[in-house]
Amino acid sequence: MKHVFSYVAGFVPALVLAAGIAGAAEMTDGEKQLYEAARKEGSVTWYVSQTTTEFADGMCNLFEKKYAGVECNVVRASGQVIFQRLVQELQAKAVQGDLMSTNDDGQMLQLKEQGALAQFAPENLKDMVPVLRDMADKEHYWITSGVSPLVIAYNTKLVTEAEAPKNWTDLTDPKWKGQVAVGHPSFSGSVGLWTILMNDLYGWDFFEKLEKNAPQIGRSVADGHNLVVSGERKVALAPLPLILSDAATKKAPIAVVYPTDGALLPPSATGILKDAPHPNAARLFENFLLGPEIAEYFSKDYRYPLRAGVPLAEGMRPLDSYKTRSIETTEGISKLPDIQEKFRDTFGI
Amino acid sequence: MDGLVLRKLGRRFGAVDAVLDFDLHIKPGEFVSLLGPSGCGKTTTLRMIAGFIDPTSGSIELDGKVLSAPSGSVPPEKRGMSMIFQSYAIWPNMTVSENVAFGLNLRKLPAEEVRARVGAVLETVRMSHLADRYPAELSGGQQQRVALARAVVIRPAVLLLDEPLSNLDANLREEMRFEIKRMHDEFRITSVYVTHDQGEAMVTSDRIAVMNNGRLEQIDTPYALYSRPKTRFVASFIGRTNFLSGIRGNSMIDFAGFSVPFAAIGEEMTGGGPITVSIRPQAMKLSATEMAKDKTINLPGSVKQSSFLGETWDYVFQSREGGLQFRVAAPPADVFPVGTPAWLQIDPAQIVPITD
Amino acid sequence: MTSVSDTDAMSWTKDEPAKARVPWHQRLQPANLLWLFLAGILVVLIIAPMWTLVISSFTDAKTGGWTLHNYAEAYGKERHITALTNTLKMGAAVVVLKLLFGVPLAWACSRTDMPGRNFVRYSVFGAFIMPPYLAGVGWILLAGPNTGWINKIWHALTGSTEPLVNIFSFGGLVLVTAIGGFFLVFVLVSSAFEMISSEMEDAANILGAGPFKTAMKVTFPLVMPAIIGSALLSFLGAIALYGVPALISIPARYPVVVIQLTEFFSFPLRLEVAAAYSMPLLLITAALLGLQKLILRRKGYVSVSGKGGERRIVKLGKWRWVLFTYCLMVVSLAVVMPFLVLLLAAFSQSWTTGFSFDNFTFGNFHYVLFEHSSSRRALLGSIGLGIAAATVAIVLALFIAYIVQRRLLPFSGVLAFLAVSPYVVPGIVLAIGFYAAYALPPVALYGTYMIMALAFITRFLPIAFTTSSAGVRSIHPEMEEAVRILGGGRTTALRHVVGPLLKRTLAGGWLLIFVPAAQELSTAIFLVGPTTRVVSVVLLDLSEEGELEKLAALGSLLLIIIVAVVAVGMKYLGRDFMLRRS
Repeated sequence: MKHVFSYVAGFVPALVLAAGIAGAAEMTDGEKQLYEAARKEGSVTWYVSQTTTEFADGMCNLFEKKYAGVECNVVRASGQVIFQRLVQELQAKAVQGDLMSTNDDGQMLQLKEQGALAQFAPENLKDMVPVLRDMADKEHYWITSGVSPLVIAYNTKLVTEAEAPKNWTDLTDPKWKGQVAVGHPSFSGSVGLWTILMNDLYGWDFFEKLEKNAPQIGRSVADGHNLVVSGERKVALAPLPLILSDAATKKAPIAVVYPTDGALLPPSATGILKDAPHPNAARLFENFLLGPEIAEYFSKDYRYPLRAGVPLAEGMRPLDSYKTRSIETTEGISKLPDIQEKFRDTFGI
Repeated sequence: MDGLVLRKLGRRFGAVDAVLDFDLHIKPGEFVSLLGPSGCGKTTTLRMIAGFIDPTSGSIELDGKVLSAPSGSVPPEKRGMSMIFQSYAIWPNMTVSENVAFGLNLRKLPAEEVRARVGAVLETVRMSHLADRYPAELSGGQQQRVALARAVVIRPAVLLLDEPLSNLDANLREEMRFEIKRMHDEFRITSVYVTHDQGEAMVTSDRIAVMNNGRLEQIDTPYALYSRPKTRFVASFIGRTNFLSGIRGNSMIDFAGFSVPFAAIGEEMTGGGPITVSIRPQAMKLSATEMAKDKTINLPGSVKQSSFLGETWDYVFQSREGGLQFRVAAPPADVFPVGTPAWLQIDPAQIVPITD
Repeated sequence: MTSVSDTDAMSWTKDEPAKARVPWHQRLQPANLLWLFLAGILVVLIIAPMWTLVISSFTDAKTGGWTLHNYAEAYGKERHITALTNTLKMGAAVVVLKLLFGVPLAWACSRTDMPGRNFVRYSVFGAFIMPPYLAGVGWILLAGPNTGWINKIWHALTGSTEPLVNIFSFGGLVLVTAIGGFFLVFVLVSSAFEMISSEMEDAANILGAGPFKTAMKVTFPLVMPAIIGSALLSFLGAIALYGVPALISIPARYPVVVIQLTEFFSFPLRLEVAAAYSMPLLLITAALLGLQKLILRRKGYVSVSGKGGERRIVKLGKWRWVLFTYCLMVVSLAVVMPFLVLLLAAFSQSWTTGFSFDNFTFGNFHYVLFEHSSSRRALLGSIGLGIAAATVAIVLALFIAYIVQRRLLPFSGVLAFLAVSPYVVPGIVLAIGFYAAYALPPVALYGTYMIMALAFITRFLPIAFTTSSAGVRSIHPEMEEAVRILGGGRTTALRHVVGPLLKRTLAGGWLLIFVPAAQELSTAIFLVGPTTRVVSVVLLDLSEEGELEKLAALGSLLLIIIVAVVAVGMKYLGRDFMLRRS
């Protein structure tokens, strides 16, 4: 915990750091009340598929640092897996998670319709980037807790910038045979949305062709960038922040292609469960997700900060500087089961 | 009734009666053997007495208290008995003295008394010097002594012995027979001894109960069993014997070639019908010439087979009239080559009528 | 038992007391209640979950009524059928490979003068300690199509760009599955070889059979039951394994049953369909065990237990080096190579860079020990569950084996059957049964260590029972009868005599359970809760995120702990506790 915090502290500009500490020291009345109540509950259990385990652990550590006495438990798995687990718990009437963060806001909508979510409008909503804030549920059943565009990653040692694919359909070019990696829509939430997007744009033909390139199919969307870094695959479908962070902090041979036909922009969503065992801790945590500490933490790790006025990490392109596409939440829900089934039929797994 | 009483005791396994209608009364302090071939039900009877097997009929009582009945039984651990097993069952994880002290400790006796009694009993079985050994370091005979000590040290109401000597070699077996006898004379514990070896039974027992096919054939003192067997089975199981078939006349039994008056046999008898008698090889004598005719029976004939057994000759004699064959024992000095004519003398008092 | 025979017996003489009955309190033994209690436990552990599984496969998820719809859904898709046939193909191939690995090694180590026999034995033992999914990760590092070390060396040597080996293939799946379980073939066949007295072979020689004929006509048929038995176990192990397919069959795009089961277990959860889909696994296992019984019952195979006699070592001459090379190859594939690359990866920043000073780091260990949110707890959880499952299973099995061996209850045979029956239930199917029976209300054990402990105990009960049963059989019943006739109850006999005499056997059995239980994945995968994750599951999650270096570090930690426990056990039991079991 200490380790991560000092690491963060050393990295971000002094000015921002000062603001962060000031923020921690001066809690608003509402925040104080929540903190008191959360301390009594003792802990918060966070189901997350939005980020990697490592990154989520870092967020939890920041939370524990700021709100001493409230333990933060991360349960990380890929999107469909964690959602399934939650549904299982709802069915068993043994909900163990307090809040969930996912890259597939369709899951949030389904939970809301089941009456499984609690309404909550965190104080920090007011400081959010308005565009991101408006992506969330109008009735405050969930908030937007991040945006991680899905883009193309390539290995810079094995592929020159000129050779690299320019758009999604380039991935079906036979020259990438045996060199593409994608996730599985039945395991990963954001890959599910990406599959829908590709089908909407190019029809199922896209996947028929992709199949001929024998892509390596992982479960999570999070292992594609590792495959590219290691050189196991030359190009992969990957979340933007993982690519940028690998390239910058690990000096890994990886670079981004912003597909000309549009990066997938799945808004990550976080909602509190109605039967959360620790409702106050959950509220405190959701508010914290929108606070300055996380904004800095995001920014430093090449993610788009949720708060207005927090500068982007160096080399990061503003969201409106390249083409992005999103899938309408209701549309995602209705199309997903079919698309998963088709994917399994085509790829045989 | 004092002592150990078995009433109409029976045990059925499936369709087979292992033990049936077994009646036995063992007086306090008495040593009784259950003798019989394997499968005769003797071990089943012993294990019913111990409480390891429940009877399917009849009952077992000790000093007037019912221990076993088909309705339920007192478990072995509450019978106050002890037992010596065929395998000795000396616990290999305990030393000699721990083995012996086990039963005393279960009775929660004071440590001082346990030590004294263990010491005393080990002295009796001459094992004091090996008290701290583990069983694996002992010979078979030594293990047997430990088993004996362990069983008697608790002063059991009844001591049960299940073929305790069958795993020992011949010399040791002989020695241990007397050891067991000595222990019994010293402690006078009511004892039931199961064996298939008549020699063992005869040395150790006050009385022997001969069993066959789950039933009691005869119970008697060793001498009576040998000299006056009541059934063909007992006569043939205890020692060797000759069976002769005859017909009862008015006052005589007629055999092929000779007759014996009822009076000479010394048992009350009525006339009519066939009869079988047993004549021990030792009840007869071979001689080269005819002997005085007063009370013995003299039959002429010849020696058909001979084998020398060391302590005795074992001859097969065939009578001239009737062609009866007899096995006859003779002292080593009485040498009769095969084919020699000879006379056989039979002591009529040792002719024992038996039932088949 | 009837009062009729009672009165018959009592009326034979006049001095008989009217009603001879033993007072009830003298008949009461606390042990009798214990036996009933144990039977109850078996119902909870085995009958209830399996019954629920079968029932729920016929239950409509929505209405709760009777239906065949689950079967229609489970088998109505070609893809689902393909997964089944794929599983059978893979199982068969794995059996062949395991026998090719296990049988020659067993023969070499037990009957020949091959050099390095102990080295081979210990390496095979290493294969027992190394969980299959870790070996799988090792092989991904070795034979990933583009960056696996073998392929990189191949590319460097030949300039080729095509991979030499690709772990993400049917062959890779079979290889990794086989190396994870061939030690069982080795152990079973070794002990069969050690049972054959040279006199049996001499008898054939003297009648004019040459060495080859003797081997084919005498030696080989005598170890046949062991080979058949181990082939069967290998097949069952292979088709039910979850970890290796999860790592390899998805990228290899070779769907198998366990992967299909996870699909039914993902959103939307179709527990009933999963239950229906797991029936073939159950039926196949039951059928194979029946077949084995049928084959082995034939008289030719009966007298294998004829032990004793001297065993002569076969002098191989220069062939011993050929055999040694083969053994070396097998243990390299199975243990040495995957373990070494795992270790290197655990200390590397990036496993593809190769081993250099720049690349060296303790960071992965630091991460899994101090930074990762659940790996510490998972380590404790795995070890704790291993200890708990091994201990409870052994104690339970001891009591059951005791009842069975001593025929204390009329239906003791049923108890024995129940205790070994989890054997035919693949771990993943067992987990589904436990989930269906106990996760949901009213029992509501979801997310507790308890449900996993129960499932692990059940899963390993057969091993515990087999060990305990052999142990109890070796103790003469008179040992206990001696206790009882001297005044101790059955429990006293168990505590003072049976227990102490079985200490070593039981400790050996304990280790045989602890090692796989601490690594168990197949059973855990559906039963872990958010706060009850075990190492195997965390490792699988790390593999999903592609964090192979961190995975290697955590896996190494797990191995270190297991090896430490085994080492303590071996010190106590002697080194040969499992490699030379008779």
